[in-house]
Amino acid sequence: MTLAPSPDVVERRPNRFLGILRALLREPIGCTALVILTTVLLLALLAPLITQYDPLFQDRRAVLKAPSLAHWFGTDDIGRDVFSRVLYGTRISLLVGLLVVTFTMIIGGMIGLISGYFGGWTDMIIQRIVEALDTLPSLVLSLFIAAMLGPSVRNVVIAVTLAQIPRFVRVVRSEMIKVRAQDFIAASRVIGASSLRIMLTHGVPNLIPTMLVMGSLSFGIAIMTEAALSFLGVGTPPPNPSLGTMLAQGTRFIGIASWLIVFPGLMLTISVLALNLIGDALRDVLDPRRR
Amino acid sequence: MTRHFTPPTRAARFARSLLAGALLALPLAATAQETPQYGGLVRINVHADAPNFDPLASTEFAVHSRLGLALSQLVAWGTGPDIAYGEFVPTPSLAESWEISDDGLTYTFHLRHDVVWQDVAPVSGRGFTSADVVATYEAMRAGGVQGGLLSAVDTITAPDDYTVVLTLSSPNVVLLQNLAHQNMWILPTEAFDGGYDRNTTVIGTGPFILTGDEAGVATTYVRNPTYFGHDAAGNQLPYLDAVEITPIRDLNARIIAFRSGQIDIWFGPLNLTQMAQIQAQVPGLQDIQTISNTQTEMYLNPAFEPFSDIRVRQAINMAIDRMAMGEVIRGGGAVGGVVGPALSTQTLPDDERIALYGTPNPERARELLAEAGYPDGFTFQFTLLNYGEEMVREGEWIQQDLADIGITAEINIVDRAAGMALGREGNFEALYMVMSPFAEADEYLSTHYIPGAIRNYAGVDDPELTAMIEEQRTIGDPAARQAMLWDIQRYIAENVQTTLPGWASLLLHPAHARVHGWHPMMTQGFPSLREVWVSE
Repeated sequence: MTLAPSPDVVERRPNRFLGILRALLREPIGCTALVILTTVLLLALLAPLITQYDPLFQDRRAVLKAPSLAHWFGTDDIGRDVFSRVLYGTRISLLVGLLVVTFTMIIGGMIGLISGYFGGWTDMIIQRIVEALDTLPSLVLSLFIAAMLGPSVRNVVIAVTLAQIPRFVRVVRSEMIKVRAQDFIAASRVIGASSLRIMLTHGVPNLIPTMLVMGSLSFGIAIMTEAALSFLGVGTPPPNPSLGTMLAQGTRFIGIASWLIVFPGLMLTISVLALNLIGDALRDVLDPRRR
Repeated sequence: MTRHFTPPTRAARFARSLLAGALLALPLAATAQETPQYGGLVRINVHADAPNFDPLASTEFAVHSRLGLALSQLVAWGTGPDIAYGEFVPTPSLAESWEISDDGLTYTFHLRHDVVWQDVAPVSGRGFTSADVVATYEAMRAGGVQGGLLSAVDTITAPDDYTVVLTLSSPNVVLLQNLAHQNMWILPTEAFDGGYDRNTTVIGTGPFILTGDEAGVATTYVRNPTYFGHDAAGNQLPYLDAVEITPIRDLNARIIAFRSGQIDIWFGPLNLTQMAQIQAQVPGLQDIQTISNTQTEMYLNPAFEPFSDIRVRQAINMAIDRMAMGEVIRGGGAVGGVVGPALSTQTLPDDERIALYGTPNPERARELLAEAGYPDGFTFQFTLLNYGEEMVREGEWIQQDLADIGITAEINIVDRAAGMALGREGNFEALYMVMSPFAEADEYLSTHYIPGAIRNYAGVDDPELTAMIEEQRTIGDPAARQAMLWDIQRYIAENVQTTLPGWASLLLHPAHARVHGWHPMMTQGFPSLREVWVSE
């Protein structure tokens, strides 16, 4: 269920986001998750200031060194600093997540709006395509697309976005159908508002809460999928650090250098957990039935 | 003068074995002094089932590694503690001796008189004759997958029941090795006249009789009591009563089976980390290591302008620290060569190979780049074929080495089939891949450096080099041929410098402590198994 639509709500949009943030901070789980995510974000953004090591530089005199003061998370099998690689790898994960969520919201949101608003044949054709895509598990679909396009960050973003779009389309469409049935939509039509104007001025603002929840959950899924694709060798190409690639490489040394999988694994787990908890908290904050 | 080959006498072989035994390391010396015992079972893993048993239908390792226990060749790979993994020592098998004419065009093989086929219907233990050899080789030439190995042969005749004569249209010194190839098993005439189905029935003259094959379970063998082979002391071979080949596809399942003693001899891929984990759990494990008969290699396409200048190719060669790369990433092995280091008598001596390919000199590399007009380096696409994590690691290692001299290598990982296609089309700048396993220097040279050859991805077309490669095939004297092969490799290092050899990794062949006399060899079919025995 969405917030009650009203022109007032649209006009007070800036305050609304602050309101959501305040409500989120009042939720213990949401607040904790937000703090964790902010920390992860700062670590990733400020990586060049936090670590002195180039994540690609191979110190060949320090191969497979255990965590120490010199190398907080140890070094990998060709002497690269794991702490540095985890931070830069998190950057790539967050970048992929951000781009995927942005593109998914824009593309999936637009298709869902059109499908829900116009209905009829337009809706039927879009939904059959979406259903066809939905029959494939999103990871399999991403894997297929990424394998076809070849390993690169750009291709990972394309693969994960395409796999996430159907979910957005379905949710946005169903919300738009509800909004379309409201009296103010009929009133807008009567005074001559175009379909585009109705969708943008009445549809989009009423879909924001749903999109926020979906976006935070998709962010986590995108990070996990990027890691999975990199783990399987079709994601972020070497030598760029990626949490998934680091996990794949670390499995060879699990018995003798556990730090190679523990730290990337922890960072991945913490990031995705924080995003999922924020998604849950947002749902609680924004859903009147759960208040 | 006609060259003769006759096997050493039993006494001489015994003396040679004693000498070889004396050279063994202390841990092995204790084993060597023990008297072989008859009886027992040995189990080996081969990570695939055999789709059929027709040696003419397929070159699959799963087929020929199984056939090797039951079948024999005319000439075999010698095995033993004094013979290296990749060293081809022509050894009598069904032929007890042979002569090669002075012009190198006629090979006369004298067959053993004491060989009988295994007692399996319809052949049922009849004597082996030259008619079986002629029938087999003619069938191979007519439609066998191994027909190319006999391409130099003009006629195959049998003057009597125990003599076979092969005539060649031009000299080819690798013919003996071709006859000892892992696909060149001799079958009875009944295999070609409809007497039995080669796909399902195996009748040979080898040390073991194939008694059963259940897909996914085991291929079973029992001792062939009429096998012609004897050990150096004159004892009848084989020692084992039975052998089982167990097809376990999953690597972890294979490791568990080996650790728990369900497999006695390991066959197939295994890395050092996995080996360390097995060693920690299996007491007395035999850690047998050899150098792989494959190596990584880097093709530099002269169609990409910087690589058309040999000074740039030399600079790249000098920038790469292969020795450290091999030690850190592969945990050991040997620096590669134009001819791989596993072929210990044909590759350049270690010192020279290390000087050419294992001694980085970044300062000189930078000078060469400047002389070639690239003082600030350049950027190229470095295509890696996806052979696994260690391959990617080598690519990353080379990337940093090249960055040190100002060259930026942008790594692009592709699957193997796509990479091969890029190579064939010449659609690459630099290609990094694993070389096919070769057992002869001629295979390395003729596939990489002859115009139009299957692996000549770099488009090498050097008439002088081509003439040298063709000439070495005609040199019958082993020492003279070795000198020629070394000259060719030096010429390539100085004048061609593509393909750049990388690293030949270690191959691990662990076996349980109860297994004795096991000597892994490059060729398929487990040739040393006939002399394996177990101590319990």
